[in-house]
Amino acid sequence: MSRIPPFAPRRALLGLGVLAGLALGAAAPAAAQRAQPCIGASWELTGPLAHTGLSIRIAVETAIEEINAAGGVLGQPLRLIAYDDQGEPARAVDNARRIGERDNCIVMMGGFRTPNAIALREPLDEMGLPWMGVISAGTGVIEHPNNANRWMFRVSMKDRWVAPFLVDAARARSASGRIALVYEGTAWGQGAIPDVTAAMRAANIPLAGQETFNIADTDMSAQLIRLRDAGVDTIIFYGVDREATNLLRSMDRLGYRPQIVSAWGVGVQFAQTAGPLANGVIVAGTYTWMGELPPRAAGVLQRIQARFPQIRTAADIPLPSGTANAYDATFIIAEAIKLAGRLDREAFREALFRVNYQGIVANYAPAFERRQERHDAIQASAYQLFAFHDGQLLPIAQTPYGRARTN
Amino acid sequence: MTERPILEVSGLCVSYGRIEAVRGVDIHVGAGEFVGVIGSNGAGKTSTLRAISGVVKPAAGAVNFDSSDVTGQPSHRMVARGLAMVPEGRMVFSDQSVRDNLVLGAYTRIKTDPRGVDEDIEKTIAMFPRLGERIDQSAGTLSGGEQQMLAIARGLLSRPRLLVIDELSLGLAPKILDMLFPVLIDLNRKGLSILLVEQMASYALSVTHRTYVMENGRVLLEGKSSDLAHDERVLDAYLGRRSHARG
Amino acid sequence: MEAILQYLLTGISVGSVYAMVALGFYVMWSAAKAVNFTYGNVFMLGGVLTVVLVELGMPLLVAAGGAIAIATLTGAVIERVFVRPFNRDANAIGWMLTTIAVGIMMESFATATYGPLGRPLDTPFMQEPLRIGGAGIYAQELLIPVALIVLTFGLEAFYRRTVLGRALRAVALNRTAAGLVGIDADRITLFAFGLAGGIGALAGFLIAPVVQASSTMGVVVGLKGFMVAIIAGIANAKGVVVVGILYGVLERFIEGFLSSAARDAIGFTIMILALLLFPQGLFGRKEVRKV
Repeated sequence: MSRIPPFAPRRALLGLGVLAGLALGAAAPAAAQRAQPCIGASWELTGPLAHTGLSIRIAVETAIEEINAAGGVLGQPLRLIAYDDQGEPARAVDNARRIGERDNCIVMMGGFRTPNAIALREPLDEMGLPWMGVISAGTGVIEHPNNANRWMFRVSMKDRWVAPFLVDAARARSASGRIALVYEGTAWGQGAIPDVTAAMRAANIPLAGQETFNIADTDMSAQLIRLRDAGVDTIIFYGVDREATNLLRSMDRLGYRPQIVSAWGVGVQFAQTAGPLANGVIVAGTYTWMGELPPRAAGVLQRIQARFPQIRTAADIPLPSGTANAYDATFIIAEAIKLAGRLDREAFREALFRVNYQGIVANYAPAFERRQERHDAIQASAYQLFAFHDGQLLPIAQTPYGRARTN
Repeated sequence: MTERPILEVSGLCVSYGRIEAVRGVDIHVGAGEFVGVIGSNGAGKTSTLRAISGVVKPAAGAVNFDSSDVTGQPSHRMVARGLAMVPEGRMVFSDQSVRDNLVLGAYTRIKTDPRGVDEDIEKTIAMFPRLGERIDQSAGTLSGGEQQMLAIARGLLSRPRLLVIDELSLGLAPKILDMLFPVLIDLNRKGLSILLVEQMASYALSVTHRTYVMENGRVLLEGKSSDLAHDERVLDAYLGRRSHARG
Repeated sequence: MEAILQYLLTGISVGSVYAMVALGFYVMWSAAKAVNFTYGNVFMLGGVLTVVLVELGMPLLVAAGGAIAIATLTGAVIERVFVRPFNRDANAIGWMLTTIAVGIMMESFATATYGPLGRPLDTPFMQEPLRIGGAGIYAQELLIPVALIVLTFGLEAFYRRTVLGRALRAVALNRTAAGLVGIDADRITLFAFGLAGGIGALAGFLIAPVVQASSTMGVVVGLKGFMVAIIAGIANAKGVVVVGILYGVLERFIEGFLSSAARDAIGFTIMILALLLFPQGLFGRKEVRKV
């Protein structure tokens, strides 16, 4: 420490004051500090889930562009800082620390995998960092044990609400009333069993069959033969594009074509790989970018295409629901910052419960409520059914499959 | 012999890891000579041959064949140059027929001289009628003596200038040897240079022009076979005045 | 009854894929006494590269030919760079670890460039499934057992009738002896790995229209093909083919009558038991190590 000059007692006091202020600031909890106007994200940007990261990123960047063109948040531009977690929970936790402590963002955004979100519970709570999910639909992401969730919010589907939605759709379309569950052998797939069983029980129908398959399986004849023999005419499906395509092919071989009502693991690529076999497959989701779009969404799609040349048509958006969710989520975040009036995480969190916003997925009035269950902005009433038809994933009303089956 | 020897080995050293099997060996074979190498087990005879024929790389020294430096050349190149080895244990291709073994022996010339290969196979059958009888049988079904015949015949199919033989007599009955050695002598008379490593010193000394005696990785003695056959040291150590080789 | 027929048909289809991959392992093992754990990736290249080349505008068969040619080259390069240096020193751990690592890198690279999603490959044999007694199978799937049979007989003829084939067998039996008759064993091994690469890619190309070409399509197939080769005794081409098809059918029957979820667990257990009973493999012969 250099010698303090003798003739500057005021400067010395000033210096001491600054030091004291810094010391106090460092000692204060992070939440009370002035945060940065940035969304810190941990997404699957590379690796086998890279298409999910892309789906989210194109939406968030486009939304931020629009928000900043309209003046930004609290007079400042909103920024995005995106980190890659490759779908690994440990990396997501590292990213959260970076976002919460080093970048000091006002809010963090999540990605595709539910395990990544669940791993963040403690770090987020400890840092007092608000988190917004846009895809990871696991019920436990938002509904923590002992109602303890303070900081985690979501603009996406919730597995526990998806199951009854699918069951309703299946019932409306089943002529024989014999409905079965076919699910992939992963945590997500297996997690569907209690949800779907409960929903079926609530509707007073037994499950006529329950079959599983492994990831990378190419043939499901055995499972389908059993279902066919049990008279099943409608299948509730939890799986992703590749196995869904192989399931359809197995059905084609057998000449057995039950109606498929799928959770939203099946995306746009399915239309490519299954070809004409995809026609009539129904998928739950929050959005599709194909078919007739309302004007605002059409504009958004155009801006996405302009900004991201790899998105030549709507068919190039791998997870259409995720894209729409992320778009709305970004605007909800901006709204909350404005309502909070200052870049403070506690204030931001409180403001979330006051956000009313007309999004492209739903009208959020309000977006969130103080019950843990309602840290999910999209309610089951906003869930949609889509159907594959001639290579497109369209709102079911825009396809020949809009009506319930009449056999 | 006034012309350059067909094979000249100088200062050859061969090691397997830390073990020095050959420690500075000088050997030469003149064109048309029939040269023997005798010595007890572990003397380094086989290692010397393996280095000469390219199965292993020498740690030091030089191998000169047909006026070219071939030190360290792999065995398949040596065959193309005219040096063929009949290895210890014969190593016939036991899952293939006798004929196929012979064809493979001619691998280096089968594309350029298929007619010649056919002729040579005929000559082989003439030389070894037993092989002719079993020409289409699997080589694995042959007896020890027949396999040795096959190994020699296979070596000859590449039309070598120098034939190197490692342990001809191993496991063979005297009757077979009595049949084989004359064949070699005959081939040698017709111009084939031969280098023979042999456990049975008496046989080696009786058929070769010159012989080297190896012990502990070095050449102990060298001289005309007929002279060495009467050498006291050789008589004691290898010709065991009591009985034939221990084998 | 119809179910059993269905299991047989699909079992033969998937079993032929395993058998073809196992044949590739057999070709490599017999020439080098080493195994290439990247092998699932040439299978994947057969499917993925064909799709990529077709997307670039090439006609289907030309694209397939190109993919197979590239895979053949890849097999040869892998032998030269990743297997040979270790095999020289009889360092089995060396080539095992290296080829496993290279395999993982190849797959990651494919995922990063081609993307993680499967893509379709259209052929005229995928239009409608053929109906055989109530069971169904795509004509494309029947191409594979046919190709397998042609390949097996072709390999047989190659090994028995051509000089190169006999040289390959000689190298497989005794590398030293092969060298002593003038065979460049290294070059033969290189050729064998290239040949195996072509076989694997052919299998990948033939099955891709049925299961979609994805960057991970080779992982499970590579593993099962290797397992089939070991169980069969890896020293016998016909045995490998028989075991491959049997395993495919076995898998289907396990799924049909026991459990879909536990199919691999049960299948692998049966294979391990078979190996315990027959350490040389079901059709193998005793390995005589020539020094």
